[in-house]
Amino acid sequence: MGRIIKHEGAVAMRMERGAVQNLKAFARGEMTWAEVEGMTFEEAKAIAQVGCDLAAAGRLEEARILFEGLVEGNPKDAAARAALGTVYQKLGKLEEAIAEYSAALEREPDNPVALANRGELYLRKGERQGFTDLANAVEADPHGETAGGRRARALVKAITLMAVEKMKEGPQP
Amino acid sequence: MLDFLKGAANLLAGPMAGVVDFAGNALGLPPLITNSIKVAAGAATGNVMLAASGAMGVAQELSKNPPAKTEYRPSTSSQSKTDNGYAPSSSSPILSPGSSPLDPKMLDYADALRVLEANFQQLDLLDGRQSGVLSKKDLQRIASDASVSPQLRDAAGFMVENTAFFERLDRQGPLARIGIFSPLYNLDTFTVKDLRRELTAVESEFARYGRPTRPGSGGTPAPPPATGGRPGGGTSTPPPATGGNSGGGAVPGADRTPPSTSSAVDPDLREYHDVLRILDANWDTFDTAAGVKDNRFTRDSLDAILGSPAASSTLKRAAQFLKDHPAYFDRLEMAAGIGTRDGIVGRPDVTAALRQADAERGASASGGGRGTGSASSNVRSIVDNPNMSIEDKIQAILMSISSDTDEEILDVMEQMANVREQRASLGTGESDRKAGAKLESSMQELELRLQRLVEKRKAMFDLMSNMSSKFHEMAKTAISNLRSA
Repeated sequence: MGRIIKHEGAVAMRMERGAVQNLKAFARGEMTWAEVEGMTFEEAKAIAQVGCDLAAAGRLEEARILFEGLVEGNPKDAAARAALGTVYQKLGKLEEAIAEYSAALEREPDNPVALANRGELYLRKGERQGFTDLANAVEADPHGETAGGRRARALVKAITLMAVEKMKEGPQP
Repeated sequence: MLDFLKGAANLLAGPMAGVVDFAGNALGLPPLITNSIKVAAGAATGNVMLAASGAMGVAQELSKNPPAKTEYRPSTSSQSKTDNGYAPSSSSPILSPGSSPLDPKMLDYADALRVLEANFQQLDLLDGRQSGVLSKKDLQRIASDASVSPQLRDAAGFMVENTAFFERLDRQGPLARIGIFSPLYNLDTFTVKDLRRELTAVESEFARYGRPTRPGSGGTPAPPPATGGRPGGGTSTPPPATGGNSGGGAVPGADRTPPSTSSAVDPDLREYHDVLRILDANWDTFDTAAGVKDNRFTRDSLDAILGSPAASSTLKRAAQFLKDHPAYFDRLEMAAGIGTRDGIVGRPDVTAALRQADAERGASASGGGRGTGSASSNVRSIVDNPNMSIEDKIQAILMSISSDTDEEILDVMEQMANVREQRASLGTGESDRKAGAKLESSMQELELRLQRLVEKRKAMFDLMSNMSSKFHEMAKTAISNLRSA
């Protein structure tokens, strides 16, 4: 009996040591909290899907909490950051939205969702960087697989048509 | 809603008004937008309707795709999959590259099959009668029989504990793979033919999928603890029942594995063969050891030899072996296939056992070939003889085989005569009637065996006759060709 207890204790110690090592790695920035917790990509994807559904249903605050949690758990997840940016954008927090899009693009420069939405926000602010972002979004999603990519394509067409109209009106005085 | 686009168009159109060709460069735009502008400008020149319809389409597209739609789109690149900040889904891949997809236990299965095949006859006789089949119950008994060598115990134990592998072996037959016939073959028994067929199937699977490696062994199976050579090593082997199991293979467990050795034949077989030769050469001594010359010996005779100061060390060694290995004693007393396991060994048993041991050792040495040791040496001398033509060699080899058959026929006839004598000496009591029934079945088996041997002999002579006439024809043709040339 004594041996069994000792055995169980040894196993518990090993597990504890593993958790401590993970925590140390997290503290050093070598691991994300999601890795420490053992959260898999599939689990994160399922959570993100819930967040998307909440946002589509207009429950933006709940969606924000979910995506903020995902980003906190794994700051490397560019898709989660872009999704959080869209929620911020709908909530009117445009600066936070641009910050999240930019963070997503740092990790994944060809994320069409972040590119399209940041491009549109930049254009709203009158910044020329917006064109580049939109064009890059169209290139990153040539077949329009994402709503962001399709939005970017439509925006590019609209801007082009308007620019042509301007050109037809003749040179500016 | 789309007011910001006007500002954007102003941003775009301002510098472009001067030089359209240099618009892209001037704006630092990617080619996509520059080209779109050029195409749109060309199409719109003088065509107001087209421009209007284009604007309508764009407006529709924009309304269909509202801004900031929340979506989760993970990257598809391989790098992001490996370093995505999430815990891996599974700790290790199911199959490491280059490894065989076959279950590593197949190696143990193949070893068990080899051991069972090589020692089938001995295992078959363990229950006191030669039936030609082994059942699951037999294997269970063998797995727990301390008198059997650890190698055999482990092989039997493996088959007992791994039901799927046993079923695989059990369902052997020409129609076994056809669904509706499959249950007909599920008899929980197998023959030596089944073992051979299954061994071939396993080897072909190894050839097709690659040989698996034992987990944790790094591809090299661990050597068996005590079965690499002859147990005991000296003049006598320790008794399994009293000396403990030095082989260490008797502990039952699901992961028990039959040891992989270069030869699947029981290592004790060599010593058993030597003992049989000693018995054969010193039959009278063994026969009279108990004090009576009755053309048979029992376990008491063995004790008498061991206790006799006059017996030589060779005889004592042989007696000690049979005493220490009850399985071999049982095999010896049942070698001729007469009667039941009654502890009495007759001269025909020794002759038959010697022939069987010769055959097994010959088969293991030549990789499956059959025939007695003397016969194989005869065949070798015939093949190596430089003074014989190929026709002579074939004829001589066939003659040698047929002479073996003749000897076997004589043996069977002798056994039949013994059975007849035993039957004649039976009385009319209940026990005698039972013994009579057993002798009757033994007699029937012997008659069948004799019939097969006679047929074999006839086939052999037909073959020899045909070959002789063919050689003759060939020679005649060659001579006539030479004459006409």
